[in-house]
Amino acid sequence: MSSRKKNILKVIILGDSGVGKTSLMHRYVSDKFSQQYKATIGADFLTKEVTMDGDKVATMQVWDTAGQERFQSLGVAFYRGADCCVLVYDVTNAKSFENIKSWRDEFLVHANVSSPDSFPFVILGNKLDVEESKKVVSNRAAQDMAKSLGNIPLFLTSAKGSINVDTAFEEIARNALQQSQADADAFEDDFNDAINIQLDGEPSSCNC
Amino acid sequence: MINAERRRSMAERRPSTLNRSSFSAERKSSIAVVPHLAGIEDPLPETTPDTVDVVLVGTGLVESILAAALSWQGSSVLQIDSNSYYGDTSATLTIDQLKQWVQDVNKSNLKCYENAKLHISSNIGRGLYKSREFGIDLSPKILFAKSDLLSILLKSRVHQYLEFQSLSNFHTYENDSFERLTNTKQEIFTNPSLPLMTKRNLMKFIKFVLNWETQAEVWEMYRDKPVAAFLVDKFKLEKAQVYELIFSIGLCYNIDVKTPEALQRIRRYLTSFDVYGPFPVLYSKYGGPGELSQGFCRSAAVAGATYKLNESLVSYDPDTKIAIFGDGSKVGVTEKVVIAPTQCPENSRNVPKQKYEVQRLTCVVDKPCSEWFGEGEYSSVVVFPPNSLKSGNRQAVQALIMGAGSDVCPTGTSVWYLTSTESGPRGEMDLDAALGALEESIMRESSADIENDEGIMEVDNSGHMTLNSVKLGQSFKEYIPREKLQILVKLYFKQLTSTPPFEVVDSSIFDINEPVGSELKKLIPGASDNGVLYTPLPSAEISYDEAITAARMLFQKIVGSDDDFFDLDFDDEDEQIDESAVVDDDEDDKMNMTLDVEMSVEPVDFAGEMEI
Repeated sequence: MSSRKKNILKVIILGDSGVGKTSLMHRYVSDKFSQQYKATIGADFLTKEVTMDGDKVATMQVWDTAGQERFQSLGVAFYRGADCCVLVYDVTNAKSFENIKSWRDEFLVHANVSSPDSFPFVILGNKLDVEESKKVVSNRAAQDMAKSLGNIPLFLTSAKGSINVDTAFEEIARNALQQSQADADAFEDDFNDAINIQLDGEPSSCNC
Repeated sequence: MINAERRRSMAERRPSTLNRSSFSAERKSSIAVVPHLAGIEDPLPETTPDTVDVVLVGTGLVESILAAALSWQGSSVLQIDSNSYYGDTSATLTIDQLKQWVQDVNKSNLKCYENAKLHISSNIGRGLYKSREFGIDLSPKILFAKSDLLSILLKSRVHQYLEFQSLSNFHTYENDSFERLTNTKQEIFTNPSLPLMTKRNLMKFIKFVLNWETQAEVWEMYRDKPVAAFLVDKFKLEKAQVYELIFSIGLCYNIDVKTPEALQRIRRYLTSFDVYGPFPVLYSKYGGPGELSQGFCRSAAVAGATYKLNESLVSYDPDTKIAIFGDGSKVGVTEKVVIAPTQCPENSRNVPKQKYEVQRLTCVVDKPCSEWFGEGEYSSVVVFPPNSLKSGNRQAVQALIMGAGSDVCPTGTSVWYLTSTESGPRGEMDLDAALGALEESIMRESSADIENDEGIMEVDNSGHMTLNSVKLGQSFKEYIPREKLQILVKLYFKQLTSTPPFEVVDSSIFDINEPVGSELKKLIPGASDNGVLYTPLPSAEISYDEAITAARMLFQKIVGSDDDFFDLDFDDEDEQIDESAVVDDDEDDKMNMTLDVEMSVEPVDFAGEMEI
């Protein structure tokens, strides 16, 4: 699938309900870069300028599942054109950890990416802030899983405690950018031909 | 910071709804316009809610628009679909999904469809093409640039989930060749094949039709008469122009279409022209209504609706107001259950009669068909007026051609959607004849021989080589193609609908369970669908024009008024634009302005103007 739009990186966040997908993206976008975020209401998608070495390179759109993951009801359009897929589990929830692989497979089935083997995923183990006794997923198990799925970068994070979130998203942005450039190279002759239907004076009335 | 100020729902903002008994006070306080922040709050329950305002069964375009409208209005919505994908009657399917769909139709598992026949070339099975490289629409549609759906797409911001491309080439098939439509003022003036008198009459008509309603004195006498008579009598137009106006510009199926309906349809095309550029019509990439359905469902989800695919309705009891689902779960319904006829529960007795037929022939061919597209475009419409085909067709056949650039099929191929409103075996014959005509034309046009024929190439005044379509048409008649077109996929099916051709929605289908006076209409004992509302199935209409009308009617039935129908303003966006514009004040900050600008990429040039 060709890259969606020039200079826009689409990042989607997958994982079981309640692992903290929405709060992670809100923490990332609204905390450190609060001056730059553009939130849509509800949990739709957030956008943020991505800078590398001090230069702005792209706009990252982080797409939330909007709750449609609850009954495995994400449509194919949601996955389309993603440049990076973030897989989130909750360190206090073993089931959410076991489901990481299913979410990755789900993504690969629907997203129709050009080269599934090299497509970038990032795994986040969230809720690191909770007390030790509640953690049921060991760091070791997480590392083994990340390795077995093809050396996927792994970050242990806390959206609540703001631990590791920025570091993780920097990695996500870097991966997304690389993927988008690789895609652009592969589809050189692909035109950017989408039409902007949002006019200054938007068509107000209907004549039909 | 993000949700410090939660946007109040429509129901919260409008005092007028406070007194409505159907909106309980309890619900008022718990309306969640902004979905739960999973992870901050408790995780969402793994079960469906105990009570919702509206259950929607099916995720076709009308149901999905309705879901978004209701969710943003403040109603709680549960929308289910018995399929594993979104879209139902509006779905965009891969080849594998299409195979399953055809089986379901022929096993009578799928209501309102009949006689599905599918042929798939072994090139797809053998792996030359992958199943998911294709996105085949069950009801292909085009979007007029000036239409109610387009306004709603913008208002709801669903357009952000979609990508649009333009369509400017409308061909009329006549005398064995395609004539591209002369549709702009400039083209009418510069077209050498049009006599001066015809030009003048055509301009006069175009001027009239833009404000036709206010000039009743001109058309009043033709209110119940076919538009063809009106065009000939009043504007002295000739057959070629009359046909173009009725069939290509008006996209009517039948010569008998009444004057007011036809005028409305002709104007639809003309007023849509040049809204976004020199074309009247747009379509969404990756598939038509299937993509739009998913966009509206996502919008509804953002506004708090619950989604469940692979789920069906078993029954609804209007006394207890409880709906029971296939997995055994139940939900209390405070307002209404709305069902797509294709997904009605077993033992349904109230499904509206589907009296009309839409026959479709959908082919994927191994030709890019770029010959038929405008420059930089990937799509066109070809219309076969009545009596233009070997089958002696009484109704027009409409064809929508989609190229690989629209991302619905692999490079080198294209999808041909042919539609007829003719019923019975005649419909299939007409479709076959139209397919034959398309095949012949593309084999001639894509043949290398044509380019070597000097008589056909002409140099226009800007120095470009162009094909002379008149001479092309002549040479087509003598040309016999050496190769045969390879058809990768051929799908024939018949869909039933309650919507008559040319009419938008038959609103009487919504009245089936309505109370008559103060008496509740008698419920049918044993029926599993008493007290529900049914949505209309898509009609043969090639545009999206009926979808918003149907969703709005249903919305009004459920909410009591359509005042709140997508009465949305995302005014929070403006402040943030200013904010970010200040922060990122570098030269390259075009991207920072708004999402809409970011999404826009390259605005199209406004080439021709069409002020009359």
